[in-house]
Amino acid sequence: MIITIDGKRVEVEEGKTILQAARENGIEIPALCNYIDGKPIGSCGLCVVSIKNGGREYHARACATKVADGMEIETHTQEVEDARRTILEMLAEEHGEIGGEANELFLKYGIEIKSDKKREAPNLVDNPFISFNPNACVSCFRCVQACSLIKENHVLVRENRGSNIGIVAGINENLKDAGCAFCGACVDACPTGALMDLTPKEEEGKKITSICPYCGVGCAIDYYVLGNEIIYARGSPDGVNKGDDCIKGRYGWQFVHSEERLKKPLIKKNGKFEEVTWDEALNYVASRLKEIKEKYGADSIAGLSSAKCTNEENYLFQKFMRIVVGTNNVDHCARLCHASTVVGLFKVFGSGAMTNSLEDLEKDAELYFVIGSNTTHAHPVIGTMIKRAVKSRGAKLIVADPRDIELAEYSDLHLRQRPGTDVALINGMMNVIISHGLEDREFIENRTEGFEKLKEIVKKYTPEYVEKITGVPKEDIIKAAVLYATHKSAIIYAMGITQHTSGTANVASLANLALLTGNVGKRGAGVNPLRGQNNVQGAGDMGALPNVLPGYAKLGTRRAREIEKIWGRKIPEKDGLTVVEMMHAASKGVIKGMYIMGENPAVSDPDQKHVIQALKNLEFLVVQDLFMSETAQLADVILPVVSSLEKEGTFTNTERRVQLLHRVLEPVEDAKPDWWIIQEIAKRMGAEWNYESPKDIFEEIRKVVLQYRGITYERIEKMGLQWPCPSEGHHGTKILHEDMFPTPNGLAKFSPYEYNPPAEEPDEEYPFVLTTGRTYEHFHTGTLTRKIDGFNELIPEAFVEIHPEDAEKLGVEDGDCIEVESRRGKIRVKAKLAGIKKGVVFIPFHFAESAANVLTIDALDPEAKIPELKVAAVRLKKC
Amino acid sequence: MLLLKDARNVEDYLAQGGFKALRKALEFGQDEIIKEVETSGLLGRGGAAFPTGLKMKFVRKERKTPKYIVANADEGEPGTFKDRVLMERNPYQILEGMIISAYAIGAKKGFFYIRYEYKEIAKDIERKIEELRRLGILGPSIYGSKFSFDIEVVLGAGAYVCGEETALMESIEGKRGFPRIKPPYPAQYGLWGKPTLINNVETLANIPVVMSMGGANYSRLGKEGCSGPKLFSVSGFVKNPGVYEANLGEKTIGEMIELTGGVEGEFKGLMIGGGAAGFILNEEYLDMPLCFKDAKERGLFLGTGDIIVFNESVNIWDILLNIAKFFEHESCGQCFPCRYGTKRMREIIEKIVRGEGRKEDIEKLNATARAMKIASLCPLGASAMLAYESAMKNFREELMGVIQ
Amino acid sequence: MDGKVLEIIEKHRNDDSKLLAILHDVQNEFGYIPEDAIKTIAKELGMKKGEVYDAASFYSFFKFEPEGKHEVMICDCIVCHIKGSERIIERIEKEFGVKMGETTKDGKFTFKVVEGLGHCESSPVMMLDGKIYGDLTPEKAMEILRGCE
Repeated sequence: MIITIDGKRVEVEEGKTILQAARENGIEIPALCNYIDGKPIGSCGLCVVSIKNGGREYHARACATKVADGMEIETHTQEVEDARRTILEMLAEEHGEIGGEANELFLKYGIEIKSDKKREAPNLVDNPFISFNPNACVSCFRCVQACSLIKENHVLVRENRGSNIGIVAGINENLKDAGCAFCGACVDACPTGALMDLTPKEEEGKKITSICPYCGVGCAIDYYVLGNEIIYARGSPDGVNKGDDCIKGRYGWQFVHSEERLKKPLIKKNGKFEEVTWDEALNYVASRLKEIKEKYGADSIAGLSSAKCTNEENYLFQKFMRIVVGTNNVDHCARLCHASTVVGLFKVFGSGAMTNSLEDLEKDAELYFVIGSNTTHAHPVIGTMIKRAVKSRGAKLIVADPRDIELAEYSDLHLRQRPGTDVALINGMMNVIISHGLEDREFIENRTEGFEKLKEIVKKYTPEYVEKITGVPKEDIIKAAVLYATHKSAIIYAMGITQHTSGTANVASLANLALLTGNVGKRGAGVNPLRGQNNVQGAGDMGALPNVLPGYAKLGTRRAREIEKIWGRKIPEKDGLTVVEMMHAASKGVIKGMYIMGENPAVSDPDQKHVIQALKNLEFLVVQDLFMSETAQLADVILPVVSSLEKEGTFTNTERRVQLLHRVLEPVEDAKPDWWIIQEIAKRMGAEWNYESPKDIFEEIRKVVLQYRGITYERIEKMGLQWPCPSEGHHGTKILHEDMFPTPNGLAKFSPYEYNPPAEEPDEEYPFVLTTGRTYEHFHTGTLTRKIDGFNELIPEAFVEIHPEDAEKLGVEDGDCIEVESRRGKIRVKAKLAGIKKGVVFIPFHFAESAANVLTIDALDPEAKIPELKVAAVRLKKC
Repeated sequence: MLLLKDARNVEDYLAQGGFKALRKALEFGQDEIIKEVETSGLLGRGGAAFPTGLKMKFVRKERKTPKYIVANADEGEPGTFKDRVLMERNPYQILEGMIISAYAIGAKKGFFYIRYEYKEIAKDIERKIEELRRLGILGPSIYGSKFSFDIEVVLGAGAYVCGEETALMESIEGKRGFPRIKPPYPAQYGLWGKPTLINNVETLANIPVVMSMGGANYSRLGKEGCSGPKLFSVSGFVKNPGVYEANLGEKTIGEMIELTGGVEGEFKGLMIGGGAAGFILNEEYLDMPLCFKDAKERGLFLGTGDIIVFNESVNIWDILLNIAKFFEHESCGQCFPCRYGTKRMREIIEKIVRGEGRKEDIEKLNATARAMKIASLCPLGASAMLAYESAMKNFREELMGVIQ
Repeated sequence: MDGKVLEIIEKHRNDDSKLLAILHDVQNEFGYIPEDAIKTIAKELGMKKGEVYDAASFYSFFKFEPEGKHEVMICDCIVCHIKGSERIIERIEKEFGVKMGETTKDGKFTFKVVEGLGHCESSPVMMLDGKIYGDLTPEKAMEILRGCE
């Protein structure tokens, strides 16, 4: 349509606001409160313009008025400019400390900010990360809009009205009590400098974009660096996160500047660590490993690779273990998180990774079935995405979790199943779908096999029967099944599904459910495991696993022999030991030496007492780490490494996207990248390796890992590519299994399971079920997040979540000390009365001093060897 | 009297022919009813004087459902109390008008929004609604027809701005009463985003009158283009303050004052237009007929139909300060021009009342008034300076007399 | 307390317009709106506590702290103002030793100035615990307040 702006006739698209139309035509209309185009707040009034339209003359806000054909707009009449100046003058009279982008407006209009009025700060100032200056806040409500419309958190709100209006958190509480996610969206939105990140310096830094060191979402973060110091960080608009971030992405980098960073190699001499040169340390490690290999054989050595290291480092580590040491005893923490995903999804689909992408899940899923994933805490950016989809476009949400997790608040249906009964629940849903004839017959016919067997097995899982097992009312089971089957539905799951003796069965059952309803191979659907560590997908892809080589090539197959050819050495054919098996072997004296790269099994693994005893039993232990972790303390040699912010390489996120790291900081003192250390040890053990950079290693990975073949550093400089990417002309794969499954006959295979109870069920002696997991603020064993004061201020210590009625029976009140005891040990923690299923308690596993894994059981899933970290029987008493 | 009847009980109301209009309406087609209202020339009685029939037509033609109807009894303007008196004396006529309107636009649910200060009346309306349900006049199949309709009473909690239709709807939805940015208008995007007809209670009470006598006859009440009975709240220095009914255009302001027994003391001036959001006038306006059109011709609004009479004891700056305080307290705070403008006006006038006013202050007041007028988000901010501007015109000498 | 709040919420289960009605009932029950009640309301209505507070704190008649036993609102609208409401306010402030908006030391009265009780035919007026008293003089106002238990 044609409109006239300031006398200029221009063509604009229908639906645009006057503000947008003006900007597109190079006319700048002042606006302070406009933040999201098309979602006007309307508070500032500065963008008011003079309009002639349909015989009427009037004034209106340019941000809120859509263009109409023939409209004549004057943006800078005397009257309008006078009004703008008056509004700015009034602001200047009330708020003496306005800064930020608003300041530019004052300069432009030549208005001096002169107020000495002081306002009382709301209680939200009491927090470790975000500062608030009440004398700069003009209550434009951009922060409120960011917190509600962008983040769906609704923590920042307005208090009172008129000239007493102000911004507060919750019921005028501090940010933590108000439920703040510390995502910083409010800070990014603030135009006056009232809300700011608390940073060491208030200077501008140089922007360097890299990948967040925490979870598997793989957010791109813009780090602002001054000298060799990060000043602040923001979610990058160019990443998968599209500008979103969470507390860990935004503030969690602070560990890199921790005083406690290891800076020199250390060798334990007479029971005490002493600083040594790199040469001495590397020679010593190489000679000890050689010595053990010669004395006890290669299989007496085991290595733990790391989901926090790059693809290049994981690749090199497993290559080192396999052809320099000569053993398949290599594993990493995926064993503790998604081993059952890899096995279970492989069994059904022929490939063990997330089937869909964040982008299509965000836009196209009509229903999210979130099971065993506390998404807003463990994968916050995806959690926000789901909240937004539910609130802004009416997507449905089913949550299955024994705890009242945050997403439950947003759900249409919350199923509180007993921990460890997921197979029964999912079978029950399939039973309902089949008995109501809601299955996708065409899909089953054309793309799957084994349906009859599935039908046979799920037959007995009637809603009534499943209610008895799971504790979920049968009506809800039916409702969930019908909702799932009648929408384009995406399954999202995490460790609540995988960390069970029935982990593989759980995963396969979810895959069965998706097949049954044809919810695979299309946008907005699929089976989507959320990976926990930033590079846990990559560590698996690189073959840091005891039974498969890079690219998931099985040992002893033709592909394995092809890899041998590339490597020029023979690869042992016997499966190696998994994480938990290694510890058992170490305690029995079968494993004599261990090489641990960046993992902390002394806290992360089940049955902690046993793990520590096993590590102590080793003849030689070498640990590479950033910090003196609980595991490092038990080592003979500690090799200081750089963090992912100080190195180059690639990470592969949960949606199979291979992303390039950029070095943000120079290494701390003598700390080295892991790949360099591995190569130096390998050389000293006789390998002729000459990798000069991570890129060198990646070029080799491209030859070995077929899925990565088409990916180059150049191609992923800005945005990563999703595997499989078989050639350089290929754009990567957003959605798996669109046309066929990567199985011999191209069909997916229904793999039904019967329900089997968890290894340890509550009884009279140990009447409660313990389940474990993460908090929002801390990460994993806390090696990084617990180095950050602000995080410790928010969550200083462990706690046990307990249902108020259970607490009452024990005579326990919120904050009281409780002793939690299992057959393996006991710990003392603070009680936290919370929304959780009766008879179930939850303890986060970040805290070494009250480690949840003292209590957990190391019973394993028979196929994936994942331990049952999510169910243990415990008893409680008041301290 | 067509509006100011004494029909506090349903028996009285029925005895005076109550609900006949509804029964008649239920035999009409929906569009026919709207046609009658359009023919009647009925203009909204809440202040804006928008043609009621047209508003009904807008909602009627929307396809989205459900549709809602809202009775606005958030009478907050100082000097305005006609809705209260109407609700006390003739409540059923409002409800009848609401039911007929709901039928005409196809609404099944209505909300009766009453300000907190009238909470006793709200309780009474609630009882009357229950009574009508028992009589089959509200609820499922009204008078045995296919039409079902019910009403929920919502009590406000002290916010003048909720009299503004979109703020009122926010309030019903359980939110703070921030006016919405218009368009979209309530007819398209009202309560919970659904088409909504919102009318002042006095407007609704006129609907049964239109239905009973027919639109054409109604249009002949009063003056052409400005028809029908209207309630006037007359207060201040008059002998018998109260609510008076007259057809629009039938009486001048002066005649209305005489009707109440005349001025107490010596006439100085008056306010019309809706309390604080109104105009301060002098004796030149006494001959103006009380009619929307005449008011408009003289650059005024009749507004809610209130007249506050001042005698010699009243100081105009003092009135302006009272008004400024009112707006400062009642500004919702959503937009800067109103939030800061109302505060600044109060501060400057306070200074003037203290005897410290200077010429620059008047300039500042004028600039503030202009900014508020063009840049405020809703009518509250835009009308906050009407009293000041009109007083400057009509009492310039007195006002400027104290300025240094 | 929780039980009472839940009962109130249940009472309004079928209302379409719930929040203001619930807040009124809670205030009638407790004399103000306690923080815990806001949390319970938010949870039951599927809102965030901040959203409830955002709405509630907008309205001048919702209170978040306990107030005096009797609520006295003195109208100072234009009409009451020209008819002498200021003298009534001055007198009350003097006699009770409080400012408008405050509660007497004995907790008996909380005084507030409001701008339009809608009874302009009997200005000046005040509202005592919901009941209107008109045609006031300072003396008459004091007499009414003194007679209040």
